[in-house]
Amino acid sequence: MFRKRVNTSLDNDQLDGLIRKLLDIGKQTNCYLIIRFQSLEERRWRYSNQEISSADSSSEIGVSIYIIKGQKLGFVVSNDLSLVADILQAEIDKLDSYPNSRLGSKLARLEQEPKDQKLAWDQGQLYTELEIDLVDSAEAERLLSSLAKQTEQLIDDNQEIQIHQSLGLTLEVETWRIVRSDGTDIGYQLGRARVVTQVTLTKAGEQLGGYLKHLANSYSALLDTLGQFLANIKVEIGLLIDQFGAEEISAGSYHLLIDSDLSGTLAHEAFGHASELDHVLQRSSILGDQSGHYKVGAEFASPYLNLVDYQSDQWHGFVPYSGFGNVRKKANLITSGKIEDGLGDQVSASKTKALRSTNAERSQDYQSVAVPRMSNTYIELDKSRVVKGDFASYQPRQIQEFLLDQGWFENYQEIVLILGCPGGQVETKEGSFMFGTSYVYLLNSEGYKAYKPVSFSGKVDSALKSVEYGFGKLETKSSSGYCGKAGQLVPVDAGSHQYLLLRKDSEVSLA
Amino acid sequence: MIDNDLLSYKLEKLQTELEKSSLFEGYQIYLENNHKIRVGFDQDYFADLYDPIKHSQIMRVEIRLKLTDQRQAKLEFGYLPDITELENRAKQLAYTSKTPIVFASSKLEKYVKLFDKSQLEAWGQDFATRIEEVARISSLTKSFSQTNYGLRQVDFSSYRLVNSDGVDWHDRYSHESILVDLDSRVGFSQRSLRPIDISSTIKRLEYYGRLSQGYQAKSLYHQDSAVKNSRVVLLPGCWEELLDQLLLANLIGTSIEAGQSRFGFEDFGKKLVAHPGFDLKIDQLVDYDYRSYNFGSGGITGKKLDLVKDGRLVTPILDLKLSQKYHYPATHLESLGDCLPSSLIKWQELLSSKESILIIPSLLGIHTAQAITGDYSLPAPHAILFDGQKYRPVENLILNSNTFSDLMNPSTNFCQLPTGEVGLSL
Repeated sequence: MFRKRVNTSLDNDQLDGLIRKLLDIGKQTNCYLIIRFQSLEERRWRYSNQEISSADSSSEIGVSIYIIKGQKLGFVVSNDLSLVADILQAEIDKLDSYPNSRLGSKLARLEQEPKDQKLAWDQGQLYTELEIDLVDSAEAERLLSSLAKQTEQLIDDNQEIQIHQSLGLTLEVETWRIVRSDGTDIGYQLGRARVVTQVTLTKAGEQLGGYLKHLANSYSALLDTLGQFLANIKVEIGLLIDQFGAEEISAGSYHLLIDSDLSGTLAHEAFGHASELDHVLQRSSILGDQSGHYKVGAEFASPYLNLVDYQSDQWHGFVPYSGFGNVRKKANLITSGKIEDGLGDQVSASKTKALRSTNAERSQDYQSVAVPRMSNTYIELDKSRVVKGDFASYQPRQIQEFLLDQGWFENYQEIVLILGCPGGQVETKEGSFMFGTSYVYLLNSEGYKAYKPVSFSGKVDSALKSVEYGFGKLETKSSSGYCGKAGQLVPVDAGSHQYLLLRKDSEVSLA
Repeated sequence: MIDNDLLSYKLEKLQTELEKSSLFEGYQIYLENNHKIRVGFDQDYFADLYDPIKHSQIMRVEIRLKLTDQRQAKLEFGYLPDITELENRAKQLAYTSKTPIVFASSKLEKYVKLFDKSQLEAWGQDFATRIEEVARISSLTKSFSQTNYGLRQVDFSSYRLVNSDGVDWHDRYSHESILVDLDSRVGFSQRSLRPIDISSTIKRLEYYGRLSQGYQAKSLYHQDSAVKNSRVVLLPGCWEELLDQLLLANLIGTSIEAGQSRFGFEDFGKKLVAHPGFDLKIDQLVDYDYRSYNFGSGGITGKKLDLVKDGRLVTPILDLKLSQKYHYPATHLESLGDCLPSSLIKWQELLSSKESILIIPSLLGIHTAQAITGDYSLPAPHAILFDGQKYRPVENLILNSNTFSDLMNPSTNFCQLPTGEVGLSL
């Protein structure tokens, strides 16, 4: 049923004609241009109180152009393609009055990759099969009402718990075409589908809320994996119920067992942002020195910890090309505890003396400038430090039993298990971080006990140095969502092994 | 601009076709045309790669439709679509709801002036001076901080809203903003519909510059008695984000209706959520005030009303649909930072009432706090203590409280900072 491929609106004779015209203007005025077209289609539904409460869509095609002429840099944006040539010419006319650009002017001189690549639509660059025009409100209501009913059935009548929930379904297709004066002409298309649910439980006047999301790169892929989403909702409700009447845990430092959602956030927030080379250039990263150079080779994590930014397939955070039209590369951010790659474009990599450019510049949309960003960032420990097994379905009780059976409480008498992360924030200059948590349990040889959610905060290097063991396989997509920076949101993934064990450290604490 | 002949012709044509179409019973079309100029600086780079001089021209169209079968749809475009595209999209998105769609029908209570011609002249005729002023601000920030970031942006927008009930509203808007950040620790923003006189920016920069330099003093530990006995003051960006996350989120009509707010509709007009001296009101009908507006995309008009009066909830934030259903005014409010406090404690009063003031420029991870409970436990990495003469940074401070308990405490009130901005004193 859902197999229609979305045709790209950025690959037609009319657009080719406009591109030729823009490039000609650039050539005649000795300007180097990076022209970026984006088409965006979105459909959104909200469901609450047993009905669709809102449905809306958005459709847009727009373009932005970097204009480089000698030392001058301009940037123009419009979503009226009939005006773009005039807007470009008007900007070029003003360029001489602009201040000199020390970084932007290099865009025209650096060797770009791929050089002179022709439009690649027919070479497997259409990444999506998201059937955006075939899902209507009736279909969305069937899906969301079914999920709502199945969720309500998870609450036993005798538990005296009231449940309120709202759900949302979002489908997106974004298409990019990036053309440069050096002959490069690339295009790609990405699809995204996500369903979210916000659940509120009320018992004897006490209210608790939980939020879950499920993502895929097409609607059919979303449907194919809904069983897992329902299983996750069931687990979430069980964890929420544990929280009724829970006490606050004493503030302080503990041995911590954190799930891949939280450890993905640690990888992303605590290290990933600091490794973005624009922060280093601006002297606002703990990973840069006072000269604005990246601290390549410095020890920053435990010696068996590796941290990677890479996307092996078309997942939520996936982007095949950078904002300037270069092929995005795998970045080994930390290898065996030492800083290796940074996340940057060719200009920032060169200025910060990073090992190389990983072509990590991205934009939220055509209106935004490209800045260094993450894609899929995860922690992977050396095999010698990974406890084999599949802990995906383990509940706090089973985790406590496993740790007891395997004798872990002999060395770690008391371990705080933290599950889920609703978000976090990092201060890149001083390397401090704060993450929210969803569920907290204290585990010891006697058993386990639920506590209220806490904030998990500390120093980035102390947290990464305190990682001692990984449990289970890599879950590189546990923490999928949207990352905000410089007023732009981009889709990202993050993860690690199913659990990470962090040794107690005075600079990593719960409050 | 929206009033150009070609666009007006296309709009009229679309209206005629919508009225003829058997699919639709009613429509409301909102058009917005925005022209923006932005220039930024960071560290040693002015108007460079990550913040170039940017000119953008963006059009946005929002169309609400009532279908003849009583379904409804809301569609957004970056262009004015033709009737065929509209019909196809409406068929896909239309849904049935117990709450009928509502279009703007009332007259504007008052037409508020939001466009200042001198703003257009300042940027159109003397663009180079505007850019030089940013370079001056950028240069000054370096004398106060090791790292800095800032931007200046001006927006000129025109709006039009038409619907099948005969409404045809036009509006124009000019808006300038300046944002400055020092060492990622402290910063400020200024907003105005009229040209910003940068001498006011420089005055504010000098205050925050002194504050920023205070971080070089020897640190206090959070358990120090001077810290424990101090009065906490949240700076504007901080309290706005905190109250938006924990209070405003509970006032939004869609959340209340979905049972995901701390409050129910029955609480408005009755429930005490703050001490009796605490008010929050909005006045969106003041000429040339950046918080004002005439109408928004959904047809909501500017209002003057109380959200919290004498500590009691008064009005939830509702769109036109929910306004008709629950009989409260339809209101648009993006942030509680756009509210007007009824009274402000003077800075000198704060200083004389306690030994020191613990200034909190930011809290990490506010967005992770749960609105329903109001609980928060958030690190304040840039907390700094002011004893009336000198500043001292405070290490390892975590603010751990509950917003609703804070608001019930009689000592919680808005205060006037030395810059003239509004802070929240806890």
